[in-house]
Amino acid sequence: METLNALLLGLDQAILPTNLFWCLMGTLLGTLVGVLPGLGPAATMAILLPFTIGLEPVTSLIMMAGIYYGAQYGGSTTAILLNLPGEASSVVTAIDGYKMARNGRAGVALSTAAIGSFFAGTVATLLLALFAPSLAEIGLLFGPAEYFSLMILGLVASIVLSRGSLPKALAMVFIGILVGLVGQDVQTAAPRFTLGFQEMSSGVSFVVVAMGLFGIGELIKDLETPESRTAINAPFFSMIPSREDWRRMIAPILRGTGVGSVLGLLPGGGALLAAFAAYAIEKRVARPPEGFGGGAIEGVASPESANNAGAQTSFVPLLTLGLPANAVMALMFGALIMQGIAPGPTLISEHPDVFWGVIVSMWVGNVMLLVLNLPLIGIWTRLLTMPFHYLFPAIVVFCSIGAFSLSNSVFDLWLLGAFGVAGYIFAKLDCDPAPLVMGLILGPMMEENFRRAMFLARGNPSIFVDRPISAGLLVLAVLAIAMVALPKIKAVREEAFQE
Amino acid sequence: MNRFGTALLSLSMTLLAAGLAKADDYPSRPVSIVVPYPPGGAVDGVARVLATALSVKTGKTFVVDNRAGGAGGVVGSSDVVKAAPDGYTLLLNASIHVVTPLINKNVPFDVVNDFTHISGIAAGPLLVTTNPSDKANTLKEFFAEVKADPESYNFATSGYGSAGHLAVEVLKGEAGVDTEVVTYKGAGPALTDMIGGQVQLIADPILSSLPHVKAGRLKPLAVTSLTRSPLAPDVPTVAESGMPALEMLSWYGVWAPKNLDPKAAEYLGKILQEVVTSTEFKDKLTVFGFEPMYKNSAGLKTFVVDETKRYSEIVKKAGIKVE
Repeated sequence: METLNALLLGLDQAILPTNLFWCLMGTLLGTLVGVLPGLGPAATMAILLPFTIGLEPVTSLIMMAGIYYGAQYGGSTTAILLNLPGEASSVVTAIDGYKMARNGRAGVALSTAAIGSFFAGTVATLLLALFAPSLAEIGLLFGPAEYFSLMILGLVASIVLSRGSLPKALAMVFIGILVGLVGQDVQTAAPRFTLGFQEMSSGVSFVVVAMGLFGIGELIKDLETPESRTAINAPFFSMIPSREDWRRMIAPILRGTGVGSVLGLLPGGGALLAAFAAYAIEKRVARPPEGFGGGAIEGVASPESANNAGAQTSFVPLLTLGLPANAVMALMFGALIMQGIAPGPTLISEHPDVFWGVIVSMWVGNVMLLVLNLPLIGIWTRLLTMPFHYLFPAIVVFCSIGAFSLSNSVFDLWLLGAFGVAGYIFAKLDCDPAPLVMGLILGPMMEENFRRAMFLARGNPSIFVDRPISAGLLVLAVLAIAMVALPKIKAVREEAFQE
Repeated sequence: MNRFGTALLSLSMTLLAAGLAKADDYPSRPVSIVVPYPPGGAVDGVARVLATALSVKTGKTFVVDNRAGGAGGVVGSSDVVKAAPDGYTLLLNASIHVVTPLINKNVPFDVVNDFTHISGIAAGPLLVTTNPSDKANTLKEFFAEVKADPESYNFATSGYGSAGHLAVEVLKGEAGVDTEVVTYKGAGPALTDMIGGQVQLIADPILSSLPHVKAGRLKPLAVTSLTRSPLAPDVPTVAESGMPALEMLSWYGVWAPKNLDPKAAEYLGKILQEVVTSTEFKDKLTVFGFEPMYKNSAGLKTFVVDETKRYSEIVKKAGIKVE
């Protein structure tokens, strides 16, 4: 009953015309920056921060939240159509989504992403409304040891899920970790692997790496065979999933939503880890006829649901504890402060209108996104029919603007070019860049938490197995390795027998 | 996107101004206040409050330009050192600006001589807190527990070389314990581990820690100002908490490149004094847990020199210089 009253209070806020308007603006803008490679929600929110001061606190938060989950929708669009993940969390979507687009199923892939995201968004909003305060406590159970083990599991999962050869995936993860270690040492702030560049002391930006490897690298490869991108020989870009598609996407959407809702609660990798984990689970459970990496609808439905659910539940630590879980949440934190509200555990009781207004608006925003995105799919897919000689310079320009806007530095443009060349080399060597991106993001977090945990335990590594959650995560990681390794060992043995 | 826009805008403005080649009254185009960190943090917040207040007061445009990168914001600060001393590029940074050269090698500027010191803006004490499950109610009791069972205690800081880090190092030295300090990337993760009971002591700005104290998730042991803070009147000072008196403030100032155009210097000095000493500005800062700390150009320079001396002693004693 109490929750119902609270939800009604939230609804009161969410359907105020001004709030509806700014919610729409936020989701529109979010979709747009999600579609444009390199321009992430964090940069957009940073830019809009000064403008939000003029709005009511709840309105400004509603708009900024709209930008965030709108970008999750938009990010998958470019991932599917152009193999350009706009967001870290859509790296996974690109694997099967882009393949689907190349198979002439771009419309279906985009609708699947939109439907999955909407369903996940609805469930996550409900979860938030019902359990937010108690969910917050889950995050507090995670200390450095638990995070380390979670990162291990994430990295193992990224190797397991990658297509192609295992040694190559392993090598890519390690390259990713090495790139991730560039920058200041966590504990002593000493610069590492910066090659003497002041700009590198704050690390290499994920956005630059992803755009370089996926976007520019893929472009260079495509330039070898002119006009290959437009050579999609599908007679009709259908966007309506067939009965078979519906049947296949239901279970992955449910699984993705579950995984995403839980992982989103954890500070750090929330939506990203969720997408990867969901994909890894799908790879174990589902049996698509095309195989994963070949354009399986499951490979789009599940991670897309997971990242949207994760994006939404990642508000829990901020709204209930006042602890921002990632860069975007830190910006929301900043927005609240500038409105004269200090975010903290007392937010729900002191500003119930803000708390519940934002939560209900998320659902409203998800409805808007669905309504907004389904008709747009037809337009987006037409992008694919654009001649490659127009598309290719446009992508380069957008990637460059995105890279430059990160910190107004020309240095990032050089980095973008370097990673573009690296992406081409990887493509030639048939190495999947997805594990590299995972290594890049999770590696430094893993190191940070490993060293912190060892610090707290006075150098005793048993801390990782003594703590139950940490031990459980490590067991899962070992199981995941075993599942990949066993068939191989068996195969080798059979081969030996035959000889 | 907009930052690109701003860049474009300022570029075209620059070209325009160069084309006119006539020194109009300063400021004749937007003044950018460089914040060497990403948006959303305390420094960024103070800068935006200041920029808004300055724009309202003067009717001119003051914009915040986030240029993150490097230890203690070295990248953004170096950009300002290299900028033209025409008053259109200013730097807003916190006390860590002074600490950075003391703990890092290869900082490409001299904090005292490579900048024109314009004005002190704001300052605020830190809250020293522990987990509520700890029995200690004062710093004295806390450190007695640490001495009795050193293996069970860990200290945290939200940033290497931050005011909070230095404060904990001073307290450690005075209490005679050598527990090492675990570094976190920002107040968020550090406070999460404090609340979760993974670490037991932190000194962090009021902005981030007071809400948790109010909610009973962190237990305050002391405030690092010489008198109690009006924002947390129940929290004792370090001296009242049983340790030698300690003042360790997180403070903010505005700088420009050295040899600043005297016209701009005069204008900025006057306008900053008016804004920083106004009641509206004071009210805005309260949310951050800060109070206005106005210092004129000479005052800020003396302050920077004095603080440098004080911090370098702490850094030397604690041995936290990066090798």
